[in-house]
Amino acid sequence: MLVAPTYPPAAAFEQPLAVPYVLSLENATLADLMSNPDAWNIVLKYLPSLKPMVSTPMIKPHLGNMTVPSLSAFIQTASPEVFATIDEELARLPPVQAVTR
Amino acid sequence: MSRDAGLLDRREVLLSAASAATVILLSPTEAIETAAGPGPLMGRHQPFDAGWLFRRGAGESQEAPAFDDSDWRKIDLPHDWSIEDLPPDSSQTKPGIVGPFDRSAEGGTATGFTLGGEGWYRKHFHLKVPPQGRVEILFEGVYMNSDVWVNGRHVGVHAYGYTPFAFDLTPYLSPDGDNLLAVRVRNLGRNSRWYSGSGIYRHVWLDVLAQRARIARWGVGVVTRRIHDAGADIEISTRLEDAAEGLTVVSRVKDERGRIVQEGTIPATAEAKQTMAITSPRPWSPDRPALYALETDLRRGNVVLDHASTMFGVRIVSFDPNQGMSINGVPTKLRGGCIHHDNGLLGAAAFDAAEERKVRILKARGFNAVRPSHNPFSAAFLQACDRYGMLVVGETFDTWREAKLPQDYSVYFDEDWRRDLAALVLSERNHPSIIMWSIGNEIPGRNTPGGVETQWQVANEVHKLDASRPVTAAINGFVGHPVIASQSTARKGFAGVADQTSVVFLDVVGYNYKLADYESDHRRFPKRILFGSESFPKDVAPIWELTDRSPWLIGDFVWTAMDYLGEAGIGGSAVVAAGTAGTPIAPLGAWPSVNAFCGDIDLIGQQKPQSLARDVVWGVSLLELAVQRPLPEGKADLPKTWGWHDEQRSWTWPDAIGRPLTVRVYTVGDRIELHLNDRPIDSKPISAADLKRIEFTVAYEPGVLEAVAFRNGIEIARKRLTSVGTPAAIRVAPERLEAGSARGDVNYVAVEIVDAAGQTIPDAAQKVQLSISGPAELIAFGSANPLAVGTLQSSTAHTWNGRALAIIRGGGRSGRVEIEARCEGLAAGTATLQLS
Repeated sequence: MLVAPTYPPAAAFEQPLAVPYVLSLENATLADLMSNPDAWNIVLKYLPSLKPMVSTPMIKPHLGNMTVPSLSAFIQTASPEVFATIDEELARLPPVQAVTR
Repeated sequence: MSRDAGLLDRREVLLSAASAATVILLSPTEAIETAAGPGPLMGRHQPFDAGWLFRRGAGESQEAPAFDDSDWRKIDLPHDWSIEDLPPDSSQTKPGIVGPFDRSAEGGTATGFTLGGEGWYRKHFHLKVPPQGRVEILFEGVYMNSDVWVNGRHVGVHAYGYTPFAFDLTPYLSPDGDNLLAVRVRNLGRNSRWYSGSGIYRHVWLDVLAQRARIARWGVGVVTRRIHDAGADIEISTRLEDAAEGLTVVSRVKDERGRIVQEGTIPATAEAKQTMAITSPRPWSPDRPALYALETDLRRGNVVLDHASTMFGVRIVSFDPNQGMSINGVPTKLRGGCIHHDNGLLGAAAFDAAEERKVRILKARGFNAVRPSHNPFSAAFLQACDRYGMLVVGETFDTWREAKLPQDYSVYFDEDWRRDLAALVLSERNHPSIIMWSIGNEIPGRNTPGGVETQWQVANEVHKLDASRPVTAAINGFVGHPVIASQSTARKGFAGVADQTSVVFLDVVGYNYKLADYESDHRRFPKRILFGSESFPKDVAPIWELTDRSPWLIGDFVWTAMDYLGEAGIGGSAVVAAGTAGTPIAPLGAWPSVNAFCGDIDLIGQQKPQSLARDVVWGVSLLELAVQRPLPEGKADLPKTWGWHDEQRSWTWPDAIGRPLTVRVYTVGDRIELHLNDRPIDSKPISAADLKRIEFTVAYEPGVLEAVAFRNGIEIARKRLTSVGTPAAIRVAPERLEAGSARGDVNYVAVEIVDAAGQTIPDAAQKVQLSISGPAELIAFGSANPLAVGTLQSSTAHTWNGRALAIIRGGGRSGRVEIEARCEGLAAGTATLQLS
């Protein structure tokens, strides 16, 4: 016998609990990195062309949805090696967690 | 009531009522006096498309009954003014106007250089409200910001251009029956990332009931709960309004032959519930889309006060990360394509036949699923999906609170989202084709605390409206930070489970352009059920190689299945210097591009080269071949981000004799032999790493190029490309020789330039003059050319790739329609269409 699945509504909203994580290019948006001065300085040290790019009208609305690697085709100094170096330095920063309030 | 009620006209309603022995439907003559000439009659879902007046442009007091509209244009709906020709550019002060396209259009490439603006509609009609009755108007879709007045009094507004909406006209109608309906439509500013069209572009209906008691709009819901050896159990809910005591709800289920297979009567309550068992049901599936009709009566004794007809299917769709998606227990992958709502040369005008044609064409190419992007589609489109067995991801919202464009839906989101979401879900929930609800596409701000809360609000609201389907969304870029939802907030089974902010409340997750992340994300989140909600055409083979072996990956939707107006020039390819062909990004579109040109199917319904590759990947074809258009010396062809090489199914390249041409072969075979003019010229093995595609270089000489595919040494297919002759004639080929004559009926007629042997000339660009005689009207004539090359509404057009398409609208009476196509120097083509 086949029984149809159901997707009942939940009872009430509570902001989900943020879990700490180690900062990296893959697990942070451009907006996340830009809001963390230490992290953003590390990124710009290796990828200086990002600075003017993130203020363009085309990119600005997507800062919260895009990662640095997702823009790699447009970044002159981007390469897997550079990204790995940045990630090493980001990993030395204290763990962060999503802002949920 | 269900939007499916459109399948039944008033005659059918009366017959249906009469079939129930002594039941009487309140007669129209008891309550309604119609004026001289046709007018609305009693009953639900009366067509209200005919006899409107239209004026493009802003104006004051045009809602007033006394306003002089004698010089307004007479039209019948559906209507889209953005596809109509703009005034000629006589002043020379504004260069760049071509047909409906304006180089300086505010929307630019997004709207395909078309214009919105303001437009007004007026309709005079005669209707007396029954003494205790109710008159309600339903607009299926108006783009956008519509204001409605009756007899000069403002009735209401509706901002979103894609959801159906209704107004109770009863208090506004004139006692003497002479009424004036006025609608102002404002498509202003930069509000859309694609071609939206402008105006009342979908049907309008009128409900005229003799009393207030009624089945609520979209008030009937049918859900399949169980399918077992003995049959299927369905649950029916019927929401009523103004229902007094003593009324009953009678529900009858009819099969495809119209036989009653189940019937039940219950007392009328605000929300009446019934459970029925259907023995030996014919389940609905993509391969066998069997439909049932639920006929619902609201009765007082034997008198039918209201009646609704709802089409539905008996089917159970399940999702599981280990088993994948199954329909009635059969594992099924979503072989999908994204589409926008426009109908090519018709603009956004949603004629039923145009909506059905899209579904029919895609089904023939192996698609079993579509993602109507990024908004609700017409009832006619969904009805076609039901009939053809096309699965649908019902979607709404391209933005929530954060804007993508200054005047987009984010302006209205806070005020309207619940109403628009309810309109989507309640009006579409009975379509068996719809398998899940998407609550957004690439939503900005979704990872902020506010965005996460909105995700929960919208997803949860969907579950309140329809707990039978999962919620999804299309996620691009960053999927989110790690979070854990609590027991009270989480979706079923996911309390305390680590997830990511963008998807924490989604039952099924859609990824846009994230093929590289599929497997790693699956390892991190093994309970996540994924599908590709958008993908690049060029990735068709690797996507399906992975999809076919991964149960947790339930399918893919290419962007896009069909070409569409707007987002101009994101597809196709660019000719670049040979040394720069490795540049990852080709420039996207600019004037005069008006069409996205990224579809498998072009703007007039023909296969493009990428569709050949998909045919092979999906097993629709064993072998296809195409030839790269010869390039100037030192140049290379660079597909755009959503593009494909400029190749054709052609071996007619008269300017390239002796030059090496690139021939691409798509096949499921493991070896290909190539023959030119019966000489074997090359043979290559194909390994799994080639992903069903291999290239040859062949010095061009006219004749016959033939590819032969082998598997395990056995020939499995062969395909030929033959050089064609010079243009000799025009072929005119209606897609149907007999068709409906109503004003809502449209018929498609192919116009092709052919050689003396009747072969289509692949590159012919000829000016063709069309003439039509008989009870029909030519409403569109053009080609699939992605550039702004002229009007789409005159009797003259240029072919492109040897083809053009004419669209002919019924004139409201039956008869023979003679079509003749002429072109200088070619034999004319003729065809006859019988309209009845």
